[in-house]
Amino acid sequence: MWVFEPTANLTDFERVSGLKDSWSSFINDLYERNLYGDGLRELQSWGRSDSDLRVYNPASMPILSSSELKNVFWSALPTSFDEQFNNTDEKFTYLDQRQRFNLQDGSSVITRIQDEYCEWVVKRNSDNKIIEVIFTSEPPEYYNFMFYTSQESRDLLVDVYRKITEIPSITIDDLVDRSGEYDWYNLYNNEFAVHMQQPNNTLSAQVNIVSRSGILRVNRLGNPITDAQGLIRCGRYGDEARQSDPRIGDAINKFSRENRFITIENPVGLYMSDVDWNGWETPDGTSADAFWTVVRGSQDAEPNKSYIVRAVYSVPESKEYTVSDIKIGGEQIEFGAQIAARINVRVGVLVSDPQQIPLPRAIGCKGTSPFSLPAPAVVTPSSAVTALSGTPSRMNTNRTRGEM
Amino acid sequence: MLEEPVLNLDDIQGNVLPGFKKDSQHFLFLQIVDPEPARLWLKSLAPRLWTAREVLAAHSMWKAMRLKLGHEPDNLDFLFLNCAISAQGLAKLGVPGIEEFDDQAFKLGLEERAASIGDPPRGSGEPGAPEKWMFGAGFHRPDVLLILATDDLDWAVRTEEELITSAEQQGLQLIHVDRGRVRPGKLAGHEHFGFKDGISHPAIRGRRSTAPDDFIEPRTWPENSTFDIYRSRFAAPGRPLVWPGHFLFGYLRQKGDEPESSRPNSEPPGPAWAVNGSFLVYRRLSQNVQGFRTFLTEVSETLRQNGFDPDLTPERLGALLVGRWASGWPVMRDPNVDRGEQELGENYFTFTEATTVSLPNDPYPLNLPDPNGLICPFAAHIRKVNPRDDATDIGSKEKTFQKLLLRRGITFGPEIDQPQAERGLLFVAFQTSIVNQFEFLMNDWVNEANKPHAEGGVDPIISAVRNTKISLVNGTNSFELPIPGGWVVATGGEYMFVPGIRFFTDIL
Repeated sequence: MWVFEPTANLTDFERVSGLKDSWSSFINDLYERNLYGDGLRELQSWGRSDSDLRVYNPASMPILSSSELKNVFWSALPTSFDEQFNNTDEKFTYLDQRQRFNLQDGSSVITRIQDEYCEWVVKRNSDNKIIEVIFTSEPPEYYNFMFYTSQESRDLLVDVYRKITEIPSITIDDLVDRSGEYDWYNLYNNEFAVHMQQPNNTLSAQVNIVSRSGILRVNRLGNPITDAQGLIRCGRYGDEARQSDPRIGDAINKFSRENRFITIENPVGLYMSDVDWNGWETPDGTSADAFWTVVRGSQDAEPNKSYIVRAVYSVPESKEYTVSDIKIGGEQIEFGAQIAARINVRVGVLVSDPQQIPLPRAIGCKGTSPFSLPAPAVVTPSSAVTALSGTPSRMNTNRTRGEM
Repeated sequence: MLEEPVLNLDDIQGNVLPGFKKDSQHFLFLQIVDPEPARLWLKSLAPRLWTAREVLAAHSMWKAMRLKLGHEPDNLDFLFLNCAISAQGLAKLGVPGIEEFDDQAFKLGLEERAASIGDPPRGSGEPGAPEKWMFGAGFHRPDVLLILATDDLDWAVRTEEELITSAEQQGLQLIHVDRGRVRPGKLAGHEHFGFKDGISHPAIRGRRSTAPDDFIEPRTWPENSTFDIYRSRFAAPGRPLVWPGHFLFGYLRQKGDEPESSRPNSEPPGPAWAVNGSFLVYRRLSQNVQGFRTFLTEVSETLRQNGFDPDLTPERLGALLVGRWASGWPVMRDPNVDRGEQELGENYFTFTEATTVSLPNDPYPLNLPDPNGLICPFAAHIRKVNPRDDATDIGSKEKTFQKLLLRRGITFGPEIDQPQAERGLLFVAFQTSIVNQFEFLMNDWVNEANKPHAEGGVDPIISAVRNTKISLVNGTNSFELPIPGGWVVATGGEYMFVPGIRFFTDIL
């Protein structure tokens, strides 16, 4: 039986009986909602079916044996605010602080605004020198899940918070809003970056973008849309201004066009992969990477095998200097954003060989009225025995899967 | 489509736009030892500095004569002169407002930034580390750069001597001279590893006058409507149209990921006197030609022996690493055959998508789609520094327009028949953000194995990363090619500013 592992292979859930299984169900539900819900519904509205999906839920269909891990990388430093500022210091000041999510809506949440699936919090001393920068790529769903699953898991949530913040006095009351719901913007998450809180930095967004970007698209003339910008505008997944979303969508759509089957690697998550240490200088010549501590998840010498979801950059007190005394490219570190600019984030997907089955059929853009669609222009070489024929039970859920 | 701005060609220095394009270019690096006479001397240079309009006119005249004569004119030459000043130099001259530049790289200078763009760290003692440079580090950081260019080497040498004598009498001291010279005969335009260089340049958006089509960069697409898909984004095959604010202060930059549009109020931040100026990156790069050639010979032999490709030649291996054959012909258009120098089609290709429409009189195969780096490796130099239609780690291909540079480099040093002599490239590039253009290309793409393409490998030609690997694919065969690196080593340089001519007359 397929099991979705907890993000970054974290072991917290092992402390509560049945919690890992529940998490696996939760991720399965994400797939069902985004892939077989949103994605399939859109296909069906164009007269297509699930045979036109190439992204799949590994709980529904075994991972194809030929599958290889492919990654998409991008920088943790957002670029979507670049045009709001004509000055880097102002931009970094903005990025380092929590902001109103929707500037036009005075009632919208105040949140960390960092939107590349990596958020950070800067701690300063009384001299305004940086003593610590905390980075997180932990999805909010992981914490939501602990809050809403059971009393035991709720206790676990408090315990995880206590461990991460090193504040043993935290209680569940500190983590809820006035309605008693779990509050992403509670004091401790705000101050310690326990998990991501920018409303779109979620596992749901990740599964949604991967699921929906795998759908092939054509314009009104019936011509295939194959470029990153065209795809994200047509498919309306993610945020075009980010680095990550158009790039992820571009990669997934390309795999679909090549008739490959795609699923997100297990454990599902978005991960910090590595840090570029070129040009860092510390006051005493200590290697700057000595002060980088991966707290949750794991770091590998090969970035595509790293699963970092929490890391801290801080200098031990014994050194008698601070993070702000360290230079990157000759500049003293005055902002967490300077470090974020050196961190890469990745998403990994498992991609099969091209399959000897008809190519998925394309549809028009999301939100447009269905129009008459041409037959697929290209079909991969036909084969008497297709890769999937004879295995109709691959998808083992109750849903209709079309004629695949 | 927004109207393209009229550029002030009477103020912009001519090497920024359109570039000197002369066979000899001498770079004189000076330090200011006595600021007041130095200021007066620099001010006195103003009438001698060639403007963009003058250099454009000179080029036009030269081309007209070549057309008339049927060969290059023997007795028509010009001696162009331009001047750049470093942040340190501006400070010594007491020029106010340097802090209004946003670009920390310019303000700190190349030496401070060298390690972050991949050079060995300061103090490491390794080749390429700043303490090994001929100039640009420690007490040898330049304040002023004079660029003089002509086809006549003797004229360049005489002028160089005159300028040095004059400058040293008035508060400046020469610290270094680089004499660039194009390679002889048919190798002109080729860098020392043998590859034709300077093929792919962005085209600056802008007009010479208020006439609607008086574009500085000619639009050369055939009139056939088949090519209409390219006109709004490209001046010519492979020449993306880039808003002038990415190269010149005082002008607008691109709006988001829309290359056709400029963004209101997006002039690059800087002092008022920076208008019509540009940041200049100067890197003196020494090339180990023999080492590179030996590598190609030995490794191609290995790859033939191990069955990767029984027909692999050193030339083809080199082409895979660069992305072009030595002639400049793109691997994307012919992965197995060097078609020789073909100016018409050498820049007409894409990477991800197929090109489907032939240019008139271009008989050679068009490129097939290569979204997986199977025809042209992701690590190939030209795919690293200009990924064209590839989506990248920063998003869609439209964002790449903002990362491009105006390159004006030239080779230096004798041919390989003098094996002990030094040779290489004097890399010169103009932009309005060293951080977001030159340094971005070096940090994020050249030296990063996972950017702009995941798991693509570092740039095997210019990356300073040693002992790395890149993937080569031949049909169903793939090979992880070890790249020892180190064939290109920095030996000096500086980040400088090339102001408009009015800076010399009105500000100094």
